[in-house]
Amino acid sequence: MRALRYVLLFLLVFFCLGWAGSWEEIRSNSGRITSIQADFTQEKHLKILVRPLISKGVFVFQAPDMLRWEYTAPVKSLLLMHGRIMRKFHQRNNALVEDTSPGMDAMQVVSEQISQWLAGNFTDNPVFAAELKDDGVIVLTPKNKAMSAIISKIELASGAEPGLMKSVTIYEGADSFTRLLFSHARLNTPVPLSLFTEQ
Amino acid sequence: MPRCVLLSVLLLLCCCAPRPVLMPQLDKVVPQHVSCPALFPRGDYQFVHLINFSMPGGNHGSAMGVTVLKGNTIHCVLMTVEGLVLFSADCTDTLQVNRAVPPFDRPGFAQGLMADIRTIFLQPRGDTITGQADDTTRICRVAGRSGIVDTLLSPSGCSKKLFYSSDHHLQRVITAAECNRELGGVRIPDQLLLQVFTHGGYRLEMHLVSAEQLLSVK
Repeated sequence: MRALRYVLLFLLVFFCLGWAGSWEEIRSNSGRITSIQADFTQEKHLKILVRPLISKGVFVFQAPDMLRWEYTAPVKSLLLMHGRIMRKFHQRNNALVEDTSPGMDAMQVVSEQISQWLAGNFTDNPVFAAELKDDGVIVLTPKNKAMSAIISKIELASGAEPGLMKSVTIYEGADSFTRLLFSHARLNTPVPLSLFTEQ
Repeated sequence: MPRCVLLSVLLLLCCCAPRPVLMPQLDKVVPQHVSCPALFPRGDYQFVHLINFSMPGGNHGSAMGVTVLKGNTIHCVLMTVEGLVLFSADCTDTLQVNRAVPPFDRPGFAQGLMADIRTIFLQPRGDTITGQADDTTRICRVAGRSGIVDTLLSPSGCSKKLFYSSDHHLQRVITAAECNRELGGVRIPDQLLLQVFTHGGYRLEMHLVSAEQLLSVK
């Protein structure tokens, strides 16, 4: 579960980065975005699947550390982060109920790093090594063995406009990866606080 | 005196412990030369389920389950809604675990999961009979090497399967509901409830997300 939290937090951070050609630009851009709302399409690729599993949802971020990560189809699921408090809800009998399975407390550890990443200090991150490619793609590779057993690498592709991510691809191994494609992004628009605390 | 206390406690525990559910006797038994009704069709298929699980102590959560039946191989993947694969395995005559992140790497988890999948998707093999457990319930019973499986036949088209050990103790129950889709000549359930009474006990609610036949490439 901890890996998932890391991925979400990296998404959160890299949404703030926007398009940039150097780490200095990324650090500079990181402070300019106060909120983001976007739709996303998730493609899950597995060797055994006839075709990728497609999920859709909505992403809402409010700086510095509020996140709503909501799946709307084919199943409903909701992850809310408000400061250090993180809650997850899953679909049960056509309603959302709070997830009480073990593992959610791992987020408490991770959330302590959010402010550091939001300040653009991700090159010093103890979990992932970051490399900025010439084409603007950022490649994250795990630094420790435990994480690399779960995620082999993450690729982040910038969109055409500053502040917009085009896609995030999370590789778990040779036969399995997840691609998130973002669309209809709105930057720096007012976001109700209740979106991060209520279903 | 301590012996009396011990005996009293034991007696109390025996009185309070749930009685094991035993396999019912059947009347009007008729041997069958065809299989009992299946929950899912035989052949090459891919199923995706949302799985809600409940554990002892009240913890509950959800995961996505992908099951691919191909030839005599079962491929199964358990992953989060966010797409992170927690467990992946192939099962033919032997079980091969391809990936298991903690805590899904615990000893016995893979075997237990594959047992659940076999229970749900595969038809049991053995001597087959039909009969009545009471005045109304018709039962199709298969007695195999690993135990006995009763299929309760319902007029709604959905069936209920009860799995007994060789010594006739109830171990698992699968209850199918909303059998409205037809696939490969079988009305498959949109909802499944698996109740397991061994290994500490747990229950899984499975909601069908997609089902499709795998067409062979020539």
